[in-house]
Amino acid sequence: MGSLKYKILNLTIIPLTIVLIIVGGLAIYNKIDAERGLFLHRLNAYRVLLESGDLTFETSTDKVKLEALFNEKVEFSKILGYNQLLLYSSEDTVPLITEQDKMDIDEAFRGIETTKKIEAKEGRKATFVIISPLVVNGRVVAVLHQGLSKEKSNQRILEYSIFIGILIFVGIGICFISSLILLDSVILKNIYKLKLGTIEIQKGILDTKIDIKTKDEIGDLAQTFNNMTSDLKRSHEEIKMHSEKLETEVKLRTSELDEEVKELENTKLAILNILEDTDDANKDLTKIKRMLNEKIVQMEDINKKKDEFISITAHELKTPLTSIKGFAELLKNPKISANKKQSMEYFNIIIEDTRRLSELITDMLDITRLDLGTMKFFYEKTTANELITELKNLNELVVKQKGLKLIIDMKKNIPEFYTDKLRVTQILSNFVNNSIKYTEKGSITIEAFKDKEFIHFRNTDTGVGIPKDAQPKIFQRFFQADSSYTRKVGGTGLGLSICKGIAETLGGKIWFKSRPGETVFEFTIKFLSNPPAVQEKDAKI
Amino acid sequence: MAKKILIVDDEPHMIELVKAVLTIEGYDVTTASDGKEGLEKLEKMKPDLVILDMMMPGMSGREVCEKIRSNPKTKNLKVVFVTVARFSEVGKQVLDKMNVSDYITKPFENADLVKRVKKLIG
Repeated sequence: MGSLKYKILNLTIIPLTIVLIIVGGLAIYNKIDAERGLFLHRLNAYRVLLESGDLTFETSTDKVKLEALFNEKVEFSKILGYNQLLLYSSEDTVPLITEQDKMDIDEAFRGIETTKKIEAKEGRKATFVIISPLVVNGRVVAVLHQGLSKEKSNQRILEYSIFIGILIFVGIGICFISSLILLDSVILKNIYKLKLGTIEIQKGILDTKIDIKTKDEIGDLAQTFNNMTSDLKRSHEEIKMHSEKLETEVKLRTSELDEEVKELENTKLAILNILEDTDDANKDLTKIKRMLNEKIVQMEDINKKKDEFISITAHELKTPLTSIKGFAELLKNPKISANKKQSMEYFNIIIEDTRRLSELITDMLDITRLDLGTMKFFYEKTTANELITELKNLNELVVKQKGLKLIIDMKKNIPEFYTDKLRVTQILSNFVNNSIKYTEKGSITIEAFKDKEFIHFRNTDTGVGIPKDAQPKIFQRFFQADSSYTRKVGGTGLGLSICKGIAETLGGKIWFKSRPGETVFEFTIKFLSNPPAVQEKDAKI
Repeated sequence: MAKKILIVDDEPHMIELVKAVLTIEGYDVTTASDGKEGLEKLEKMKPDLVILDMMMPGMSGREVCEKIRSNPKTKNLKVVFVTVARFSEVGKQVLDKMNVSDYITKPFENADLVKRVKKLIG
């Protein structure tokens, strides 16, 4: 900010100084001129005196008169036979009339003026001398010899110059201080205000108003600034409004687009289905051959998987069997049976492993029957309400014991339908049991609704979720997400595989989505308003 | 001093059983519930015998055995496999290759387990 102040000061003070110095110089020059003008002044005074006849050329009277008039020392005389010669001298002793002077005086009587400078010499100081004719009525009546001390004259000029110098200095000083005060109090003060105003705007405070009421350019600028900020504020608000409007519009459009994309997706699926159907209809011999080959490969693959399954099954069955057998043998040992606590522990292990064995056998039978298509389904009339209520009764207590919330969200107006109640409850129970196992806090939500020709069930929990790398394998047999966790929560690792088989046999699908904090398992079954004419028995190999 | 045995098995009941049977016989038994833990404990306790379950999630018994054999310190350690399968001729050759001392098939008799262990380390 300071630099602006000094710029303005420089702008005003420098020309002012120059002007003052010029004026002072002129004044001094004038003074010098005036010093010389003394001669003329005296000359004119003598001429006036002569013309008025006041000068008598009587030495004593005239001397008093002249000294009063000029306030100077005057010496004059009629000498050297020049009858009408008047000699005058000031500021110095009576000058010597030299031979040269005499010649000059003669010249003066002929009407010629002489100006000369006499150097200091023989007790005389340096002197300017003018010898002038005094003309009255066209006749030279006298000659005036004037002397001026160079020393005194110079001294007067010097004193005058010093005086002028002080005047200039004081003048500049006054101008400088008054400019400074004026600048600070009037112009710069307002500029500071303007600056503060712009800083406020920069900070985004658009309500800023600058209070400058002077009727000058800065006042105008402040007014313009205020107009600008209010414009800015207005446009800012408009932009905000517009962008909000735009945002909602974009949201709307996006959701519309999403809908369209979904519909397109459905259409695409439908078309793909049709294409597949057409393909199927158009298959030729080579295709059948290729398919047969593929079937063979598939069968081989299935065989391999079956071998694998059998080997895992053997392990899964033989492990509890070994443990049951081993602990039973140990209990026969009197050393062990004497220890009651130890015995109880071993009995409990035997009971637990027996239960595990029995569960495994049931699940394996289910799997085998699903594979062979020999699982029997008993269709009965039921409602979603009945199924969910049963599920709720079965699980409510365990859920509560674990401190979880069980939420049932069932759409009304689901019509009655035919299905195998036990099998559907089996899937639902499996979902809920998994949720209970893997959820430490939060809730389990069960939903049911009708979706076109399907009944749709959904189970949502707030549990740890399924690890990403485990997700593709979730429906595989004997798969459990984390084996160390499995020990804690139990289960055979066949449940979801069975659920998948049941849902598919009931004409639906099964799927899931999982991330930490939200896992959703869903399945559909075909909506049947009448029991199927023939109990389904399509071989599913 | 009692001979030291390390049991590596993912089934807690199996661990409990083998440990109980061998402890009664006076062995000093330590357990590990997976291959990784087993290898760590092996370094520390330097057992006379390792009983390895073949079918474990993560690192299988066979992988653990290969690790034991590739480490010069444990190269000659006695290893007994616990398995459900009877080995074919090829399977037996693989066991020989890995220098497996013996194997025992589930479900086994407790006495059979003790007999085999005694035969190996006394």
